Amino acid sequence: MSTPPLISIVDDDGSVRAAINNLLKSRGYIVHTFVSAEEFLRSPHLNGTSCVIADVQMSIMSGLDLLTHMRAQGYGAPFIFITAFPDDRVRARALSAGAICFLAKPFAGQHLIKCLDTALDKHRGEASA
Amino acid sequence: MTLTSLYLHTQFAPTAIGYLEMILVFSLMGSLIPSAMLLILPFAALAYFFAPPTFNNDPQDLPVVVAFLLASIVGTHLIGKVRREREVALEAAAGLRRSEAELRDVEKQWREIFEHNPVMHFMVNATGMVLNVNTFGATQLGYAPSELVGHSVLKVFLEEDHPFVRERLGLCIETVGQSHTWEIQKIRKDGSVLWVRENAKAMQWAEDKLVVLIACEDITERKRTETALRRSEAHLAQAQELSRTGSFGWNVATGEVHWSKETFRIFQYEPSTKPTPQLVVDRTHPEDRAAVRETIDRAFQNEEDFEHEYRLLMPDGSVKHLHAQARAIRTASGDIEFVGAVTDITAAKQAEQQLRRSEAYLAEAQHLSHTGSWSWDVHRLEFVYRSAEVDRLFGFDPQEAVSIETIRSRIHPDDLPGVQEVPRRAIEDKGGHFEHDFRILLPDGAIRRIHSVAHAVVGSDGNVSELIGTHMDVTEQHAARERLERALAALHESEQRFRDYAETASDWLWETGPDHRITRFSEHTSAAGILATRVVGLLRWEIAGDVEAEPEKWRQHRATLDARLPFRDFIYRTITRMGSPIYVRSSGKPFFDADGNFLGYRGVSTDITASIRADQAERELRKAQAELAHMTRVTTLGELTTSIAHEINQPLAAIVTNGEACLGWLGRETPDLSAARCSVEWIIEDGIRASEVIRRIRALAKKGEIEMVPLDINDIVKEVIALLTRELVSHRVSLRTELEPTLPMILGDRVQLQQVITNLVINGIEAMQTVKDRPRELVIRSSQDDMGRVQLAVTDCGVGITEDDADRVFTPFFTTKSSGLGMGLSICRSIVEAHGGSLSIARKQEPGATFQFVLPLHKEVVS
Repeated sequence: MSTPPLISIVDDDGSVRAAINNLLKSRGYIVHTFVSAEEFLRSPHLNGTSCVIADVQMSIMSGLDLLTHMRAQGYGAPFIFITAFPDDRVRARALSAGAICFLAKPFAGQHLIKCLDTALDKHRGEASA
Repeated sequence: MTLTSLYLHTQFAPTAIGYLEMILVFSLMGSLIPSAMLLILPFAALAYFFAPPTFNNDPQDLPVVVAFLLASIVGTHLIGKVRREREVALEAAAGLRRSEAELRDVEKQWREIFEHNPVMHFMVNATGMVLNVNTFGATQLGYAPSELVGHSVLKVFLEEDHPFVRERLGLCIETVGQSHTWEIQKIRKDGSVLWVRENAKAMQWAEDKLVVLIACEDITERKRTETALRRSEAHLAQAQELSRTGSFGWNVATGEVHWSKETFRIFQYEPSTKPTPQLVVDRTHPEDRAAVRETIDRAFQNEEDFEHEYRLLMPDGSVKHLHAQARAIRTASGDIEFVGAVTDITAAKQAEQQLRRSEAYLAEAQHLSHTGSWSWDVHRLEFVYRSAEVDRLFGFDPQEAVSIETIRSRIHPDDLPGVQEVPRRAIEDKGGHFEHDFRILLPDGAIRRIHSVAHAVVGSDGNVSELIGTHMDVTEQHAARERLERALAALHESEQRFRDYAETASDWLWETGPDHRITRFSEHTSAAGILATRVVGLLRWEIAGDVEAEPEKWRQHRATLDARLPFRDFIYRTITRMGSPIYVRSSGKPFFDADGNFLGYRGVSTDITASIRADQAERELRKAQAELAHMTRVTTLGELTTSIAHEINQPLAAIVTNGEACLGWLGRETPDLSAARCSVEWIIEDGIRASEVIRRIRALAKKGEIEMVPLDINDIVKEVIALLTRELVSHRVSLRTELEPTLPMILGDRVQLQQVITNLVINGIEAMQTVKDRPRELVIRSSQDDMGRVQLAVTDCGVGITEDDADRVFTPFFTTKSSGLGMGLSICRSIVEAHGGSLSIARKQEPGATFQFVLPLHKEVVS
């Protein structure tokens, strides 16, 4: 492991954002948090991000919109969606859009780590490929 | 001789011899001048008758003539000489005889003088025996001298004076030659008494005997005068003392001043003091001194009568009032003498002041009591007397006489006949009291009401001469009586009004005694079906039918009665005479007598059976409405489940994640305790956040009693927003709030009002569901309307409401949504109206609609 992977969290709920940040840091990840998709898109970490953990329901630009937007921009960073409204249609759309995981709040930490590991493996594979 | 000679034709010589003899005879008679005349006459006669022609013619006659002349001269001379010698002898004899007679005359004269001297003379010897007494003296005493002579002189003295007489005689005897004088009474033979002044002296009498000569002067008259004078002096002194009038005399020229005893007493100087005008000035009150001096000076200069009043300041500090009056009299010597009287008028002055004061009191009393007194002369038709108050009442000038026309002009025209008639009748009836009322109309238009009481005075001719009476100003009493009458009328009216109110507002009025038993029962409607006769004398709890069922209510009621406090809207159940139960609402107030003694209660009662029934129905309705509201709330919650789940899942997610993180920090090779602790703190925070959401949901879902409490509408809005944030976000609706920060409190049920606002917000969100072309904005605005009520408006910019729908939105089961019961707005309106407010649509057309409701303010006292 040359450089630790950089994880970006986008969620408009402050406590959830802080909690995920806390969890990932405890596991040794480098984490950046953003209150909105727009902030993330403007950030210098957009390019270096190894995985995006995004809330689905956000005002102005939702998590799915962010994914679509990034893919359209050529960013391939894997996406993990988290949501407090676990809607099957949204889940389907997310997964079909290429999300690694679609987690309903509240979710088990292990579950997120597992998804993250999967996503990072995938990202590494894509990067090395 | 000549004629004889002529007749006889005697010769010249014989005639001459005849003449010669005649001359000699005449000389013998001692008269020289007739002799001389005779000498010439015969010669003339001889010459005339016997010698024509004269001597010349007859020279023989010449010797005869010469002889005639010589013989007559010598003869006359010789005869004269003899005569002179004889006369001397005769004179000596006559002188002797004369002195003897003179002596006798003198003695006789002295005797006469002694006898008839109008002075009583006594001559007594040393033993007091009368040696002699003159006739005058004896007669004076009614005795003959012989009756006194030889008797003791004591006989003519009063018994009690005898020692004095003896003593006096002794004194005279001892001091021979010295005169002694005394006054004594002598007693006459008839027993009457006369006063004499006796002048006595002892003298040596013959043969070495001593006699006492006593001259007595009758001074009875003088004594009487003296006594009278002394008496009148005493009377004068007494009169002066009694009248407090002293007299004084002041001779200006000599400076001689005489004061009577009383004058000394008035000025309080010793009678031995030598009176001077300065003494008067010294005693004069300092304030009056200048005036007194001026009066005296003026009188002195102008020599005129004076009269003045002044005060004395006595040594003891008391003040005397004096009145002095003096007359300027010219004395016999031409001097001016002031003779006058000075009177102590202190008592009079005091009486005058007293009188003046009592007059002032009377005037004051008349003024205070508005009573004037007067006396009217019925013949002269004018006031004999009128007090100041009469002038005030009639508005007369006190200085001016008042004519009957003036009086009539001041009487109210309507009362004039009476004012003239009443006294006229009294005059006709010849006396007696009369009373009448009339009004005075003053020039300024003011009216005074007078009550007059008078008495007709009958004169000596049997007719009424004078009316004496009083005028009392009763304007105020009259006004007070009118006020009282008006107040009584108003009281009657007020009583009737309150009776009307009470009878309208209640079914019957009642009264209970101090023992709370019903004493009076006015059943003015028979609606209640309670007969007064059946309840009088009973206690309220004997009439009531719910005493056993509700003991606490009755215990409190009886405590209120025992505390004598008023009670209001006390509701109890009883039975009508028909046997049906009725509800009675009773209000009562204790009443007391003037001394504050409790007399019982008075109050009103109303049969409220119907309203109780209505209340019960309304309560049922409310309950149903509340249940419905609850149901719709639950439904709403159902609709909000997703949002609510989100609200709960967020904190839950954070909690779980932080928990995992905590474990992660702890599971490190070197556990990061600080981060772990931080994680746990976040867990706690999010736990609280989650429980808050749940609390709100539970509150909304609660099926509790309606609880009306003072609330701030802004707080309700904020709570609702907290629940609906996610709903707004998920529907991409931005929320704007315009909350008036200082709103008054309203009285309401928190949950029900939350329900209304939630409903309106959700409706707004839903109304904007189809809006794509503009930002979906929802505005919640709180404010105060024109009437001060709290107003809350929720405005969306959605599709709006059609006219048709506007009429139906508030009807139950109306809905434009596929889901939902369609009870929302209907329930909202019920809730708002139950809060005393109203819910309405303020704006219907695009863009969007505004729903708003107003709520009345919470006030402590609601009329």
